[in-house]
Formats: sequence, structure tokens, C-alpha cells
Amino acid sequence: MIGSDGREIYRVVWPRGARTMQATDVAPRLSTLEGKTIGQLWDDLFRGDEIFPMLEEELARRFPGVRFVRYDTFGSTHGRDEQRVLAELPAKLKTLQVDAVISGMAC
Amino acid sequence: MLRASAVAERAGVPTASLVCEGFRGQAATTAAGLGLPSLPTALVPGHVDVQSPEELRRNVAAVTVDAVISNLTEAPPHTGKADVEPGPADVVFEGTFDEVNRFFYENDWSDGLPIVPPTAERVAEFLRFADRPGETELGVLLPDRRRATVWSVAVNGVMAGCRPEYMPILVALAEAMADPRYGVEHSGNTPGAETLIILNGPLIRELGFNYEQGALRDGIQANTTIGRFWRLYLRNVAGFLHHRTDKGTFGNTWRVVLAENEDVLRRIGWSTVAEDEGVSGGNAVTISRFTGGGVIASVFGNTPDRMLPYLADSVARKVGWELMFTVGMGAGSQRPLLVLSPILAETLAKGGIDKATLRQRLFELARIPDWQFERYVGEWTNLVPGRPTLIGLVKAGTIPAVFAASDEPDRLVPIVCRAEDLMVAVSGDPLRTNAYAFAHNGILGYPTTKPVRLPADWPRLLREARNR
Amino acid sequence: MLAPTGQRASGEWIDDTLRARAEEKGLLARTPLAGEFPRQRVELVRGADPTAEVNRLYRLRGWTDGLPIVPPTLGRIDEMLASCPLERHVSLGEVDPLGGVATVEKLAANAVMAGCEPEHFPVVLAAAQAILDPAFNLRGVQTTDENVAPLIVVNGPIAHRIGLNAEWGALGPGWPANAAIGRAVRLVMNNLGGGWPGAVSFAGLGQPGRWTLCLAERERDTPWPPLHVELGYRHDQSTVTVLRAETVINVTGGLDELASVIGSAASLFGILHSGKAGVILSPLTARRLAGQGLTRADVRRRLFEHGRLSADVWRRSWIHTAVREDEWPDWARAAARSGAIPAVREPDDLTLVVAGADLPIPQHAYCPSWGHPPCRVTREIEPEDSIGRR
Repeated sequence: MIGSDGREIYRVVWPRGARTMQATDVAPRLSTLEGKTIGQLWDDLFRGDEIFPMLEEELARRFPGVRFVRYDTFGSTHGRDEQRVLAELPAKLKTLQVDAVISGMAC
Repeated sequence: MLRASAVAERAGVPTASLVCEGFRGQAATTAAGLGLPSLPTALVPGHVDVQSPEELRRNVAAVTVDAVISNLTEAPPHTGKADVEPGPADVVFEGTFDEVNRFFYENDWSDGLPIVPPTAERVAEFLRFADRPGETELGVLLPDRRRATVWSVAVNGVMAGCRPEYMPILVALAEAMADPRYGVEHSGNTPGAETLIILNGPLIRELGFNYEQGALRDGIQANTTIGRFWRLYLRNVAGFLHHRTDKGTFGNTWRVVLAENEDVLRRIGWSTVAEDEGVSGGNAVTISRFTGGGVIASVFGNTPDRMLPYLADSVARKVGWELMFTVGMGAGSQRPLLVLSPILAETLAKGGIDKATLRQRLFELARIPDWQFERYVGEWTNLVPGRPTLIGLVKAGTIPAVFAASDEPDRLVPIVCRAEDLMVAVSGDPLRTNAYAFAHNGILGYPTTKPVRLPADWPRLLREARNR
Repeated sequence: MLAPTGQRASGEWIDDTLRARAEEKGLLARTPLAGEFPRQRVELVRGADPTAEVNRLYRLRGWTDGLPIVPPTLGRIDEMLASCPLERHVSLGEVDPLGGVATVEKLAANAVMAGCEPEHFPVVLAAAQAILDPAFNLRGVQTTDENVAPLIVVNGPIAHRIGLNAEWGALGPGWPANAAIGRAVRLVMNNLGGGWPGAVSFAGLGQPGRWTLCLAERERDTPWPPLHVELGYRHDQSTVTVLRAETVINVTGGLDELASVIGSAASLFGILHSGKAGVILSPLTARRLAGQGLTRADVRRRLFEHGRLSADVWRRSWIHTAVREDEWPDWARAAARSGAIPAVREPDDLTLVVAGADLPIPQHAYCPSWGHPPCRVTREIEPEDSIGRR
């Protein structure tokens, strides 16, 4: 198509693809961490093995009765078994009665 | 890591995601791509790798703990409905060549080079060379979870400057990209490795791919434009954008397609890469993600015994932190690639080496001392948690016994778990004694092969294309 | 041009909500093109007079304050960001109430529209950070039926460098930095937060301060350390301090006159929420008081002690009948029992700013506070990056 100044005009289409997932809200939050079970998810990177114990220590100090399910229970969330680990995760969280999760490490 | 958080949230469990400072921007866009734009994150100040244990403890105590508590107990804002996006055939813009290019670039749909304006007419031309209609879904691509369709493959193929007859290859590439085995979701990771596409089959000659001198260099339309298409598709449909979902420290640009020299392979009786990967009988693309590599120049020697030590040593030298994929993340997923020029392959074949033997010999010779291996993945990079020894990993059954032939730290160990993990291709200037070794990103871009499907009337279409 | 309007983290554009709200309220006539724009990062406008066309489109889409704007072309935004230490896609947060993401480039687009020069932008950035602080309660400010506007006070070396006025007519027109910076903040509130009058913002009357309410504190020929030093910053740092100003009341005279205005019904709403009020003191008065040996703190204490509302006036006020007695803060009820209520909980809750011309007839201003929580937000203004970034 030629425009008014003699240059060709292109009518172009969108190069992306349709989203298959609509944005949703996150899960409801807890009112307190006291007496709750916190699961740890780790991708085996960036010193999570040092950071998770630090968090455990401090949270246990502040919230009586809080307990932790350590990351080795769930498997690495990144790597060869990632897809299996994530597929099994919801059932595991339910069975172990996990109330909240701390997930790391994104660096 | 955020994918795991998303799974927990969808299972009804609130999460706190630990994020270093440099990753915050990417975290927001990744979370939005996962469909959870309100996903809260807990900041770990700075970057953990450069902090002493005391510093790390101070930072975690001062900032991260409170953020974790807040993430788990304070409700983030309600998520609104997503935007209505254009339909595939909608005209999103009308303008001159320069205006289209400016518009596409400013909307992050272009790689900064001029693109060919994707008009409906050009897209239709590409669709004639597809064996399925435009709305066919080839898969869903992470991180944006957008549909990969034959149509969008055509649009991005037009933009890249491909010819319509490349369409069957482009479709196969999109299928490979969407295969969970490949792991496209890792394509924006920190090391920033790039894909190499290896092409096999009669299409190499039918479509004029270069497989001789300068096989890895731009200048030949088929190899070059399809390489460009790959990254445009990663950008526009997978959703990797600078400073957002892409966190590659440096990255690299698209690699041109590597076509094997199948005349030589046939002559010396060696299998193709596709056949090695289990896909036989003709046209196929193999994608794999390589962290880097280099030329192995002047391979001197007229027998395998004289040539192999240098080749094997070069393969071993290219690999460093990538050893984490041999013993750590996705143990056994490291797949280095050695590309031999035809004259080297022929000389080896003349010396009685077939492909399987070659891979076995390389496996035996491409070795480094145990202490060096452990230093690469332990003290120097901290990439394998717990800093296990190779002997410990053999005991745990993670890696094969070959890594623990003795307990001497000086003993030589392989860089991969099995001979079959080494990939070998043949291409490049037929008469130059050079090779090329690529180090591999392991499970984060695992070799994936797809056959290329041609439309029923391919011969007629091809003739038409040639006589354009 | 860059689309200056808000897009939520989910991808949704706030204009869709705004159009629906405007329609509900029968206000679409002001913005007949609400929501009608290409849903992309950039838009191309062609024609013989593109500036006029952009103004027409933006006005009808609801993206202006009613006055002409400067089209936010990509080139002007690049200039605005040339020395910005933050990268253009960095988000400062989501702007209440409709949650448009405040990326640095969107802030720059609105700054361009307001008529800012690049040298104004560090102040705009800091002011945006301040209003995004939860303590500022931007959601409340945007949606209340009261007429509150942000009062933006700038301290430090940047004020002189960019010509931000602290003297003649500092709260009036004629001073480009004062005008453009305040206007940019208003456009951000309108375009990224969706504070459209009548549709989302229910302020019955509004106030002139909603165009711009921005000045520098006078640091030349004043007897005391400036506000930011009082707040703990160094002299050589530049800061922006933002208060929620219900209105600006002009007071002519001395401390007694100021105290009498402070101790009036004007402060009732501020008392209800223990708000932090603003006092702009004429430089002449400041010098005179300092000459009598008074410090800043002394002046604030004087105003706190003498600027009191009689308990009678309090009890007879409209707001006292509208609100339960136990909703008033303890300190106010205690003070009422002794007969007179200060305008603020403690002297520190009066923010003292010295500004204005050297006039023999001293002109001051009192800005009673609006809403909760008690708010005086200060942010350091980041120095420009000498390397320059895109």
C-alpha cells in the first residue's frame, strides 16, 4: 500500500502469542507464624544451605511453636528433577500439613 | 525457583521467595509471567556470593527475616484482570518501513536490527510451506506461558528475514523449544548461554545451507536468518526480555545454524547428530544450549593416536563450572559438543575409528585431576551444595564408579558420566585441520531433536521457491 | 511517544477501570476517549501539527490536568533520563488507588508532559518515592472527599541549582521548577494512580494546590539550620519532604496571628488523626525570633502552646458531632478536659519551613494536615549520575 508521500505503508500483525494463563491472586496469608509448619524449597544454589538455618533460628526465636520441614524433603526445585519435584509438591505440602513455604534462591 | 513458589501458591500455601537485590526486576516480571503478579518476595541484600558469612548473617537478620514474615502474613494487593491483547491476525500498526521498525523496537518485539514488516500477505506466503494450519498449537512456552502456533512462527520467520520455504524448519524449532526436555524456561538464566541448532537431512542441500567453510559464521541466508528467528521467537513468544525475564550476565547473540556435512558422514559411515540422538531417517533439528567454546586449531597428526590427545584435551579444557551438570544439578546432563572438520573426521575414520569408538576414546582421554574437578564445582563456584567429593558422590550412587577408580586426588576423572554424553558433529571447511569444542549448559538447555515435517506437495513448492 | 498511563503488574490498563467509573458517574463527557488508545508501550501520532493532535487525544483520554501538555516523545524521555542513576524499567511501586506500576520511564513521561526539564527529574523521582511510602496513604489522598494535596518542600543544594524558588511568590505562578515538579507529581497521581476527579477522586471542591504545591525552603539569609538538617540530614544533602496539606491558609502578622489560625477549627481534622501540620514562616519573622534567642524547636513549642483550640469550639464543631468521642485521640481528649486542645500531638509534629520574600509585612502559611497515619515523609534526592544512563 502506498502512502500519501509515496512511501510504502505496511499493515503489520502482532508477533507474540496468546497467553494461556490469566493472572490470579496469591493464596491467603497466615495471621501469624506461631505454631505453624514452614516448608523450605531450595534450588541448590546461592548459599541457601547457610541462609535457611539463619532464618530458622530467627523465626523460632520470634514465633513459639513454629516448625520447619527442610528442603531435602522436597528435592531440588531446579535441575534434572525439577518437573517431577514440582509435580509432587502440592500433595507433599498437604500430607506434611505445611502452612507456609520459604522458597529460594533467586540471584 | 519462583516456579516452585507459584506451585505452592496455587496449592493454597502462602510463600516467601528469597531474592537477591540484582534479581528483583526479573522477579517481578517472572512472577507476572507465571500468572501471579502479586507474588511477594523477600530481599536478601547485595549478592550472596561476595559476602562473608558474618556479613550474610547480618544482612539476613536485618532485612530478610522481616520480609519473610511480611510475605507470609500480609495480604498483597488484589490482582486485576489481564489486558486484552491483539488477536493473531489483527493489524497492530500501519506505517512506513522505518515507522514499523521503530514501533516494533520500542515495544521490545525486535532485536535491534531491521525486521521485515510482518504483513498478512507475507505471513500467508510462509503458511503455504507449513504442513498444518496457522492456528495449530505447537506448545506453550515458558516463562510467559504463551501459545506457540504455526502462525506466530511464520510472523517471526518473516521478521527474521527467512525465506518462506524455511518454514518447516522453523516449525520444528518451535516444537523443540516447547519440549519440556529442552527447558526453555532456563534460557534467561544468569550464565546466559546460547542455543546451537544442528540441522540434518536433505534440506541442507535443498535449501542452500552452508556446511563448509565458515559454517558457524553469518553470511549465508539460511543458516543466518534461522539463527536470528530462534532468538526472536525466544523474545516474542517465550518472553525473554533484557533487564526483565532475561538475567544473563553477558549473554551472546544468536548462533547461525550448524548444518552437518552429510556427504562426508555417508562416505565414512558415521552417524549424524540426529541419529545419535535417536531420530533417524532424514530432516531433523537438534537444539542444545552451549555456554561457550573455542576453536581447536592445527590438529596435527595422521593417525587417531596422534590426533585424539589434543582433541580430548581441548574438550576437557573448555569445561569448568559446567562440571556442575555432570555431578550436581541434573547429574549426568553435561553434553559437550565437538565439531570436527571433514578432513579430521576422514583421517580418524581412515584410522579405523567410527563414531561410537571416537566417543569412547574421547571419554577416556578427556580427563582432569579429581582435585581440579572438585575445585571447579566447590571452592571456586560453590555450585554443588555441600561440596561433596567425587568419591562421596559415587558412594551415593549419583555418578558412575569410573569417578572413584582410586582415592588419589591426582587421579584423572572424566568430565562427563558416559561416552555417549559427548556429542560429535562434522562440518566446517573440509580441508582445514581445525575442530571446535562447545561446553554445555546441562539440564538447562538439554539436547532435543525434532524431525522436520514437510507439506505433502513439498517438491512442487520447493521448485516454485527456487524459481522465484 | 511513551504511553504515560498506568498499567498494572497483571498487564491490565487502569483506563478500563477509569472509563467504567466515569460512565457510572455520568462524567464521560469530560473524557469521551477514555480507554481508547493503542495498548502498546509506544504510540505514533502523525500529521501537520502532531503536538495539537497529541494534546487533543490526551485531553479526551483523561491524561491531562486540563492544561496543554508537552508530548512525551521517546526522545524527550531519553533526555529526561540521561543522568538518572536508575534504569528505565525499574519500578518504584504501584500507584494507589488503581495500581499502575510507576516505572522510571513512566515517571519521566509524566515529567515531560508537565514541562519538567531534565534537571528537575531527580526531585520528581524523590517526590514520587515519598508519595509511594505507605505512611503517605496515597490511596486516601486520591479518593477522599476532602481537598488534600501533597505539599512538596525541597531542601539542599539542588534547589538553587535548578531555580526552585523559596522567595517571592514561591507558592504562586511564574517559577518553572516549582510549577513543573508539582505538576509532574499530580500527573503521576492522575495517570498512574487513576485519581480522576469525580470518577475515583471524590474531593468535593479540590484546591489550587492540586495543580502544584511545591517550593524550596529558604536557606539564604535565614537564622536557623534548614529543615532537612533538623531532620538529621547533612547540609550538603538535598531532600524532598512531603506533607498532606488539607489546604494552604495565608496568615499575615506574627507568631500570635499564626497561633490563632493554628488554634482554630481549621485544625480539627488534623487533630482527629494526630496529623503532622506544616507551617511556612516568613523569613523576617524567623530572623526576628532568632534575634530573641529562639531556635526552631522553641518556635514550634510556642506555636504548640499558644495555637490551641478551645474545648468549646471543639465540642460545637460539625466534626465533633459526626465522630464518636472515643475515636478522638487520647491526647486530644485529655487536653480538652483541661480546656484547650493543641493542633498537634507534640511540637515535633509541626513542620517548620522558612520561605517567602523579605517583606516588612510578614506573610506566613499554615497547612493543616489531612488523614492518617501521621505523615511527614522525607527522601533524599539522589545526585545525578555523572556517567549518564539510558
